[in-house]
Amino acid sequence: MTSYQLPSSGLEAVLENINLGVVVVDAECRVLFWNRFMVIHGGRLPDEAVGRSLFELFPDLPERWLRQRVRGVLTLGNLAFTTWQQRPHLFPFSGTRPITSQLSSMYQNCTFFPLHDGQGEPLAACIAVTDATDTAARQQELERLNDLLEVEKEQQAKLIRRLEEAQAQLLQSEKMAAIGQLAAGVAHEINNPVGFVYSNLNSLRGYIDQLTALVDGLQAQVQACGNAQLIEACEALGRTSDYAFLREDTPVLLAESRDGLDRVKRIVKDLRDFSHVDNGEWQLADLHQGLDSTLNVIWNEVKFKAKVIKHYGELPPVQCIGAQINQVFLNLIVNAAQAIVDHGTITLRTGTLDDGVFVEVQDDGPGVAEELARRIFEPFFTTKPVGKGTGLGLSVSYSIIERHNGVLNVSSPPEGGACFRIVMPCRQPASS
Amino acid sequence: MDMLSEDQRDALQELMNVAMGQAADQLARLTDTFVVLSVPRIHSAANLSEAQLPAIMGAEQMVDITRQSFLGQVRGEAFVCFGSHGADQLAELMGYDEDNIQQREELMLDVTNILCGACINSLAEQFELPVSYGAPSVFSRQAPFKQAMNNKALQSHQTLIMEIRFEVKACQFTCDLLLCIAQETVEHVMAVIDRLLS
Repeated sequence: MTSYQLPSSGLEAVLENINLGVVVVDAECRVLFWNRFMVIHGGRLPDEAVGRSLFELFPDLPERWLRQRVRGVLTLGNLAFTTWQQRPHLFPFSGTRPITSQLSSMYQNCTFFPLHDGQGEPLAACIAVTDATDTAARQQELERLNDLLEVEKEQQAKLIRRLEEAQAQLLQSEKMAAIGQLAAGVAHEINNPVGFVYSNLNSLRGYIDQLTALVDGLQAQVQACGNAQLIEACEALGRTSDYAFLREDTPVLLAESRDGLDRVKRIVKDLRDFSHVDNGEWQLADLHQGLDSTLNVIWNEVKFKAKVIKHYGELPPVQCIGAQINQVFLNLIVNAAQAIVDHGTITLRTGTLDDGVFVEVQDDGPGVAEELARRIFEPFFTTKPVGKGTGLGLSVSYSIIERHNGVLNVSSPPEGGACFRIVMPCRQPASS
Repeated sequence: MDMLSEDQRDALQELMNVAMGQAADQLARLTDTFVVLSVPRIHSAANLSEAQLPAIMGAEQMVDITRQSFLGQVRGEAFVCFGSHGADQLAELMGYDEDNIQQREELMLDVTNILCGACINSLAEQFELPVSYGAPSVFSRQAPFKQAMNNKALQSHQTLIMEIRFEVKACQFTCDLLLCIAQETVEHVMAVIDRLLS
């Protein structure tokens, strides 16, 4: 095996021509060696540079910092680095992509390393300068693209969130529409038979009254005629059919049936309201008047349970469907009365808010548990015993307020009580 | 699992102590101040995030972490963990303008380079193995140490970890240095230790 050794002049040629800036400085930062790269980019021939201080050649160099750096390299016998990210332009060289890049100065990575004498003592420091303009240009382009992507990603995330919201809303409204259709169908189907049963029941009550009057009249006639045999036979007939009891119980049964039918009618009406079967007229209404008249209607249900306190503010006329809004008031107040355990207070509060108005119905009952508060506006959701509530009152109210472009929500502080709050605009937007 | 026997550990500890003494001496000469390098603690662990780490690295405290490669027959990376002020207290000593915030990162990298250079050069001298370095870079910014380590895909092989605390009393500066020697070159360290032990 032959080994080829470069003559030292050859090594010098390598150093001279390598595509790196090579500067050797002594401990005082005076230039000892200056290669071709430095001539080309630094603009001075070796004769002009060697022997002079770096700070004389490049007055903008950070002197204190660089001296400390060279001192560190010589003291520790260690490498030191600068990178284009933190110190892009240590030497004031022009950019190396004058046509295709906006970067007007050369980005540089520099490595400092010690040169030792024969005894291993550090004599001088060498600074090797690498052109990193290409890397920097690419990196900066990547960063720019990355920023763009980040922005796009954020926008997409926003869009996805909105899509999800829209989907949830769609699902909800589909559910409501399906329930509404079902409710309308059920209401319609029940309404007819209930109608004729109701009217038949009314007729029946009339007939029964007449029949009772007939029997009573006949009995009186028999008593008056003085025929003991006939009277005896008549009384026997009355005993066999237990006439006295029939006469007493029939009206009670009829009244109970009528109550039952009233309840069916109320449920049907709720169902119809819920499914928007009845469309009222939009008008400007005084909500205080609505509240008061509603209170009058249900005063019998409320008066034994609660004292009603009114904190009415100044309210402008509000554009609404009065019958529907009254129904909401009715639901909320009855609800509040039912929430109160023994006897309590219902507070009605009204006022204006930005472009709208608010109405609050607050009770001092036990309040609404958080997990129920989420479901409380769902159709058919009720906490009342079977037969007491249809679970439609609040969902109907909710959809009515929604149709008025308002919001109905419930808050229940830990100390008890529940407050239902309606917020709605005074004027409906043009589209509705 | 521990890749070191007790004798090996003692010998390595001894070497490290000598090396850190030398490194501290060099750093003191460079900065003209009194510096302290703690007695190194040696761990071996399957990966960095599982290693028993010094208090600052185990805590939730936000830290900046820099890293630097050392190369040669002993290969690995060194991590330096800076508290919330980075290396600001050393700005003056390192020849920086204290109020130039833009140079904070460079200052941290500078401190990393000098600290790693001093420690690893001294170690390499003890091991009689030549060593060179890559440029230091920022590993993670303003994150708790564990989180920073967990966020990066680190090689999960056995690592020999040496933990050193560096302190410049005059500037009230401390930082923690972790030297992590990659498994495939740990045997070179072992060979030196075994030679010393025999």
